[in-house]
Amino acid sequence: MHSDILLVLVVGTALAFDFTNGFHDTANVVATAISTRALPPRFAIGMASLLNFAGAFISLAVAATVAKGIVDPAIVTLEPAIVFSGLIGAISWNVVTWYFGLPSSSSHALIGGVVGAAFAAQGSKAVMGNGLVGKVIVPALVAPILAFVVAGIAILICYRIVGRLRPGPVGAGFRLGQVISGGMLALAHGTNDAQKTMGVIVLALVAHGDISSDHIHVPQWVVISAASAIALGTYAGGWRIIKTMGSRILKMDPAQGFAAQGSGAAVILAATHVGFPLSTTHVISGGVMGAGAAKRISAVRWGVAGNIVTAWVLTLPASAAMSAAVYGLTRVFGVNSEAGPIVVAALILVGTVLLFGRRVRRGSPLTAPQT
Amino acid sequence: VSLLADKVVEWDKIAQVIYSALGVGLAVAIAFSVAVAGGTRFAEERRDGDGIRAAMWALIGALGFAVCIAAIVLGIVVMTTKD
Repeated sequence: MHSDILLVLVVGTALAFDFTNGFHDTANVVATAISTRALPPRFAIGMASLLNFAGAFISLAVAATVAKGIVDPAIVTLEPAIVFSGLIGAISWNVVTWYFGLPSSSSHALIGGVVGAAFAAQGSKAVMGNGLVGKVIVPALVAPILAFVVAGIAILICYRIVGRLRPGPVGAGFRLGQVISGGMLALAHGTNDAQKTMGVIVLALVAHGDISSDHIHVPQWVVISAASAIALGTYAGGWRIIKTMGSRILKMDPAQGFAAQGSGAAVILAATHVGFPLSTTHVISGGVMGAGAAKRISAVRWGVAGNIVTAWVLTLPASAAMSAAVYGLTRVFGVNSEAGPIVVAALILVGTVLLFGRRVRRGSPLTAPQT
Repeated sequence: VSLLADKVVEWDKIAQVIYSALGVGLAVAIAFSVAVAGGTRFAEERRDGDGIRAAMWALIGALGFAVCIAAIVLGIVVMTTKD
């Protein structure tokens, strides 16, 4: 990628994606704490925002995986529009699922987007199949199940230890625990999700010639800007998803909230440590359902859980297809033309403004549960 | 299929995630539950005027809480030192 304009466009789009990631995903982190009234919603969102920012600084393993483990960086340099199209496809999918209140996965949308655009541009040789399966798909299957199991066992242990004590003080104790476990989950989210954007920006810098593909590293300005974007996105929104995650799946007590958040944080931090880009939404959903099912299978609203699973299954192919379509649109203006990405960026900007305008006209978004 | 899976999937890292999450997740759940139980029993015993038992439960609760904090700090230290 030799165009400075295109690099600026890609970095700006990546940070916009990071913002939508925070907007779309991070509220899930505090949904359980809000639904059990461990934290007031605005404070919870503020805390998650700050800890997301901090979390972005504690590891770079996931950024490395995204930058060099999923699509071939050398091939991406041949067509600058690949990274851009991947980002636009992921953002489009995020906006669609956000608009309809569907918990999706920004992480898988991003990876699906980059893979879809790379595949559309250069065919299967551009996609590192082993990396995609070994570092994304298998961990994506294992992580929610692991969170389900850990949360299920954890809540049984909690009940076993405190079961015969007075519920009032015990509930108060676990509400305090939720503040801690919710904070850890926000930190975990920041470290895993912000790094995916860092990885994409690094990919763009490699394509631009600023970073050698043999010595890939993450510049400090990339870390700071990605951390800021996800933190701002977190603070800006996410109320629809809060409602779905916090109360529609399961009515929880504070101990269950603690178990769900703690298990989610443990799984995400462990996966981040080895460089697996996970979906926080998937993991916390697994934790919430595990904490609910261990107490009473019927407490989980499996219909809503089924809808979420459907969204999970759709995310990778849908964002890949969207990105491939975006890539096709940019190609209309020429292979390495700057006009295509500029026109697409303008169209997406107009579409997003119209969607937000429609949302504002329809009234305030859904709020956190009041019950 | 098995050979292909062994080649593609990083089983050692998957195993590391599983045992780390299980170990830390359950350890923190146990320790914090002990902390909550300790705090609750401390309040009850103090209200009943049994100072020794109250102190014992306070100690147990404090130990549980300390283990939680230690696990969290250790986790962050491990993550930051890997890079």
